[in-house]
Amino acid sequence: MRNFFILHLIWLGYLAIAFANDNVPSPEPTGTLVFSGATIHPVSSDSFIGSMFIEDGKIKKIERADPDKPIKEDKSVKIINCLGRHIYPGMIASNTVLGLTEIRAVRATRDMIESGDINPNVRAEVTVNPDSELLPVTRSNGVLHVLSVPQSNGLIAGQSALMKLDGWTWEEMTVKSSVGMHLRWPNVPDPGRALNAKQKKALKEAYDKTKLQLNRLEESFNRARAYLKARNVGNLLQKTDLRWEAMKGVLSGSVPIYVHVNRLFEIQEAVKFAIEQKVKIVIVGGSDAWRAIPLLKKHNVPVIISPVNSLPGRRWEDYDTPMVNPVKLQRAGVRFCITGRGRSMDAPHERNLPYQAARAAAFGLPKEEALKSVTLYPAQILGVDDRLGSLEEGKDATFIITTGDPLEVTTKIFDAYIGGRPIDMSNKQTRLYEKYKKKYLQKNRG
Amino acid sequence: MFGKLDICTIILLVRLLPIIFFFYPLLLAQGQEGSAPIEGIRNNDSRLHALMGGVVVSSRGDLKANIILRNGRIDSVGQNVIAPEGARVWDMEGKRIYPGFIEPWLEGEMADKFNGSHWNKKVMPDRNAASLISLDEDKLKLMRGMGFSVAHTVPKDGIFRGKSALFLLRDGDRGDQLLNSSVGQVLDFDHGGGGYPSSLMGSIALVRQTLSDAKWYHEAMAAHLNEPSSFMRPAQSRALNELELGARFLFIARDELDYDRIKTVKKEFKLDIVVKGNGYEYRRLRALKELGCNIIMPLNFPTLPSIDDPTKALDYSLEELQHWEFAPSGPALVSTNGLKISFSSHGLDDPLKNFWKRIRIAVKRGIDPNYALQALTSIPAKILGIDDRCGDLVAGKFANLVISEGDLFLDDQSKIHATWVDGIPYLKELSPELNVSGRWEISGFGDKASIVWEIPEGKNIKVKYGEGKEFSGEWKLGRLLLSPPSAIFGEEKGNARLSASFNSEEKTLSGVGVLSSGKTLWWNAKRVEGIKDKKKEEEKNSEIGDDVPDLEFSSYPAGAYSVRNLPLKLSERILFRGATIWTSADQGIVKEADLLIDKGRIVSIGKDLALPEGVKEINASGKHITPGLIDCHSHSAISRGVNEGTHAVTVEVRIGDSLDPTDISLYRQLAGGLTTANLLHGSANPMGGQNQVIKLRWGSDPDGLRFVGAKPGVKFALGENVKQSNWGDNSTTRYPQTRMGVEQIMKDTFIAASEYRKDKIKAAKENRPHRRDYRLEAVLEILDGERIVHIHSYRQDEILMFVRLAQKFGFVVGTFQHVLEGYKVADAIAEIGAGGSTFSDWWAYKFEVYDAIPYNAALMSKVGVVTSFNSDDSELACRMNIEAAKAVKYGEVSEEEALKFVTINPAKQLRIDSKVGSLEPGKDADFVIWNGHPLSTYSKTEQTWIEGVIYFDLETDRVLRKRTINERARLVNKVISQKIKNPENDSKNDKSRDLEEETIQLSKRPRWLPVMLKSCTTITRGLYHNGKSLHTCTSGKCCQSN
Repeated sequence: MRNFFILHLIWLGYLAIAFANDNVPSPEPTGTLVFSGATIHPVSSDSFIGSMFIEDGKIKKIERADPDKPIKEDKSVKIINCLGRHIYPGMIASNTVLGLTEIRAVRATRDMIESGDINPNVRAEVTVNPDSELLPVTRSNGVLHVLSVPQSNGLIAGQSALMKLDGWTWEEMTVKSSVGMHLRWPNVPDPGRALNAKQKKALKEAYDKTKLQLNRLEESFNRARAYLKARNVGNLLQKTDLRWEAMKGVLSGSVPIYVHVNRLFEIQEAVKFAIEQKVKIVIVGGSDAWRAIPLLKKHNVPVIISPVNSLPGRRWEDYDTPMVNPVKLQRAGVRFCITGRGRSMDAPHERNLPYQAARAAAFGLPKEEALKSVTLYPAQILGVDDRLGSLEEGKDATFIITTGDPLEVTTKIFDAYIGGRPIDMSNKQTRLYEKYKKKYLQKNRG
Repeated sequence: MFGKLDICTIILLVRLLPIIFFFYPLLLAQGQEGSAPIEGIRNNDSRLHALMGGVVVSSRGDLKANIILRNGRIDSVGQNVIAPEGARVWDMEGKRIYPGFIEPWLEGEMADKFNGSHWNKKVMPDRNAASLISLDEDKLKLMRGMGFSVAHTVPKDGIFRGKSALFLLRDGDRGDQLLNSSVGQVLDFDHGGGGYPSSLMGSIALVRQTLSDAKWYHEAMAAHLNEPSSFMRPAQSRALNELELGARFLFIARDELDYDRIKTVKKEFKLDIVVKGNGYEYRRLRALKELGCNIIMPLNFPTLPSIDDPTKALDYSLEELQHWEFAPSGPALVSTNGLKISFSSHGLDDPLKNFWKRIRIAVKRGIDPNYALQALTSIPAKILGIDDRCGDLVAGKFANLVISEGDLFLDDQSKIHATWVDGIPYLKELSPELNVSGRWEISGFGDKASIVWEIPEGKNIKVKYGEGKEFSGEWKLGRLLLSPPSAIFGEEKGNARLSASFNSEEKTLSGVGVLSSGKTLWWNAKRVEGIKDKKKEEEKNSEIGDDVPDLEFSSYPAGAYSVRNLPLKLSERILFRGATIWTSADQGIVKEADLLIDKGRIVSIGKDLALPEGVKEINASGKHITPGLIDCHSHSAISRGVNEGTHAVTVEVRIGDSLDPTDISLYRQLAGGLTTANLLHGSANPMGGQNQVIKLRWGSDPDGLRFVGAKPGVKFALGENVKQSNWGDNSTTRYPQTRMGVEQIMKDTFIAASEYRKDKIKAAKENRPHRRDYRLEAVLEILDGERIVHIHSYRQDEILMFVRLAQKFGFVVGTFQHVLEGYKVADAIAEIGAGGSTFSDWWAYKFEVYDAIPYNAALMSKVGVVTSFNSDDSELACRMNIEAAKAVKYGEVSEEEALKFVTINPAKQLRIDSKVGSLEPGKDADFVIWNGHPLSTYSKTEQTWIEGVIYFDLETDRVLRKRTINERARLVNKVISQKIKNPENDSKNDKSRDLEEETIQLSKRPRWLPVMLKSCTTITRGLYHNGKSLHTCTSGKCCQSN
């Protein structure tokens, strides 16, 4: 039990705190591990009772249980009995601020918002703190990968990275970077909505400001293009511009823009923008996405629903509007996945990802779709389904062992493996729990 | 030929002209008897007038009669009255004469700064509109332009705004104008920000304290004057001295729920009141009838909703669309319900243009024109106490009249021709007639055959002079300027320049013309034919439909999911068959069991219950039934501020004063099985406000929400929020800034209350007036155990400190709220029998919650603390059953016990467990029917019942959705058809309209949007918001609630 709290009390009263978890990443196991007797939920196909072989961090083989062919343990094959247990792929939170902040209210621990409103060049992974206490808490509930997303007060927030919640350094943790360039689409005010002359004036000003912002956004894409063109033709006078360099992937089509947007009007605008700019787009947020189904289908735009557990945006809307949103997208065949709200204050609570999906299931999403929406679908949308998202031969050995359906709160998650490495499921909270259980044992209470 | 700017200028000019020339005083001020020396030549105009042959209008009907005015009073009125010798005779043939109208609410800027004498700058009962309000020439002209001759003027800003005054709208000095310098005390619950109070409940608390102080002050002063030696003189206070409880009080109702709040204050202090309304009266007829007072109604009907873009139209709530449709019918509905109303032009952006238009709309929508006349004359005269002098055309009253062409209440073409005030005529239109439309015969250009020009009606002057040919003109300095092509006059090229003035007697234009050749000549034009103003006839009102909506506002609240009639009667007896019943009581979980309810209570629970006669049977097999869920920490349904976070101690404020039954959260939370909630004050100060436990009786008025019999409570808070740790660099001076100081200020307050009690007892013994201190009275209730404390807390040190404080002062702690480190000192919490109301798994949003663990509830519970989960969030409150499930996950709590964390345990904490929280015979029939296991994430609520009444039901919900969609569609179609009828209203492609729109009236409505101001304590919102949680501040960046 070592907690490294370093308190710097500077004479101004300024408080800076270093936070660190003391979970030790485990070494890479050697040989073959066989998880046998478990109900295996590959997600990409039907569940069955069987065994899963892992080797070199990959899933080597999954097979149905066959009493005639018992698996033999030897020097290089170790069997882990999982009778009565369930094995699922690890879950992926596809919109989070994890790693970028520890405690939102403590300024010194906030690393999610860079100043300025055009920041295509900032990268999330370099500030992910592997010792953040939030990470072991998150993974202990089966969320093994998170998309760490820079935030913004302006337009282009930066590049997100997919992080595995295990590793000594951020480099080891980084699975993919850049996943996307994140854009905050501003809400466009409607001056016609004003209730009096004074409001109208204010709304008009706000409208003009937003229009200018959107012009700036468009202009930044144009400038990036012009810059890259100048560099391409070997214009020696063209000096380096980090911002536009960072947009290379977006403009070449290898990196999508992830547009954080909720209302129908802005969703339309954002999709139109992506088409005009000839860039790939992913919608994040998307509470009105069900209203834009034909548009999203036509242009094959995926939606990261963030979150399901929320209130309708408008007073008159059905109470279950946010829950039914993924149901409608799924029925219409729009690509989607589900995640939490993803604000900095939600970072400590990203472990509740599975319950976002379950809520949609309570309101009509088929259970297997709900499961996919936090495993396979985010892997596909984030472009890592060759390695993650389902239990298939050749994919990463990244999975959880549970008492049952991880989308039920009452289910317990026993173990987790990321790339074949076993995960320490303890965390700050379990340690405090154990500590204070002892207090009452000492006092003969509880 | 004109640039955009020019057109705009012209439009402005043309639009301003009527005001510039309107009601030019025909005579200069005529003095009443006064003491001021006259400077210069005296004005002694004749004060004897005979108005002959007009139609005299009164509530008794129309009468063709003559009126004699003498010395500012009506001398006589009658058919046979003849003009006295020497009178100035006015021909009123064809004109209508109304009693001068009375403006019951004119808010004015104060001419001078007022130096208040009260400790609170918003309390200014000693301010006087009579001496401070500014009535400038423009204002007078504007008011007379609408036909007002008397105005009730009200000071702006403040809670106790001061005394209102009545003025004659004549010119002259104050003495000439003033009718009554103290009509009543004006009260407004709007705090205006900047210090205490910063919330609605704070305003009400301040009103209560101040009224009580005034009562005490007068008593104490009287006692002192009687026996100066034995009774100490109270500290002199001009403010309290001038606040008479027997006087008239004019309350401003800013939203449709303020009536209830006003009623509370009125009852408590037995006040004589008048209410200035807000246009939403039609929704609260019953409350208004109970209030039983006169209402001053603004005519602030909403303008046409902006729904051009269907994606933007989504953002209009049904309630707004309904209000657009219904508001113009409001006056009719209110007046036919036996309530006395008077009309005010207050709040109209361009009253001159809009006031009469709106009166006529109200008439078209069903208000009796005769009543409308009274609402502008006799009714305001009566409520303002001048019915002996104003409000009618009979001998002896003030010579206040309005002369019109056409019936002002019915005829859209009618115009006010003159307003007489105090016997002084203010005539309209000394300016040239602006309407030059018609066919004109032009002469003066030599032997050319007579030229005929046609000028169509319109704001821009266009002159047609042949097939499809036209040129434009403009008014400038009272002259019509034209520049026709010289070709008309036989010259080859260039334009001529003509100017003309209009002779209104002869209806001719004449002036000078210069041709392009330089030839100058005089020209004349004679109107041969007027053009009927077609457009104007169509105009009517473009923003508001004329047809009366087929709607009744019997349901409440307005908008979506409003409940028309509560579906079941209380007496209905029902037997639910075959469900899994989670009793949260000794019976535990009973499978395939029955539940019998009667008259809103539970009769029995068991297997195979007999079906009594006359009992309805409902098959519930396969379903789960649990007690209605209880949220021990909520901020839903609180209006205009959950924090009175200004002072460190604000125990006098009451959440119960600002309940908001229009909060859609209530319906959404019912849909999650919630039936009871503990509405708490925020955590911005150590000793916050009084709580209100409610049942989620969606569709009721504020009083209907209250949980009658719930133990009164109060919210206290510790830690980062109260010491303003995360409020920014400016909040570093309020005491306390440390946890050390938090303890001390609490201790100080408790001691002060004890000492206050001693004084109070002593004063009672000596029969001496004692000043009631609402703040300390509430603390006394806490010390007496009549009010229990819900203490917002996080860290173990502060929790323990508060345990010791409670032990020292002997007060009862209902719950430690949040109590995220409760697990570290659970034994201490258990020691004083306090509950722990915590989050299931929140942590790390601020420094003091970094050690929060989800095992907290399980640990506290094991050590013997009655533990519950709460939401503190409108969204989380919709799924408390899932929160309960987390106790199973973290800490191995059994499912049965886990459900108790959101049922019987919070009921115990709130001391309402004898009524709710479990399913046991005799308890309230508050329960939820689930389609599956209540702790499963895959389950959802099918029905929610409160006291035997079904408040949420999936099937009814489907019906309500459909109704919402149909209603929206109907209203949107109506808006569109209104728009097509009046394309002029479409401002999209017309720049000049834009400018106009800036100035035209747009309805003002009180609406407090969730805004974050610099001081974090002022987050407020008004009614009918979208229900989003106010939880922008969980991080503690701004003080909210956790």
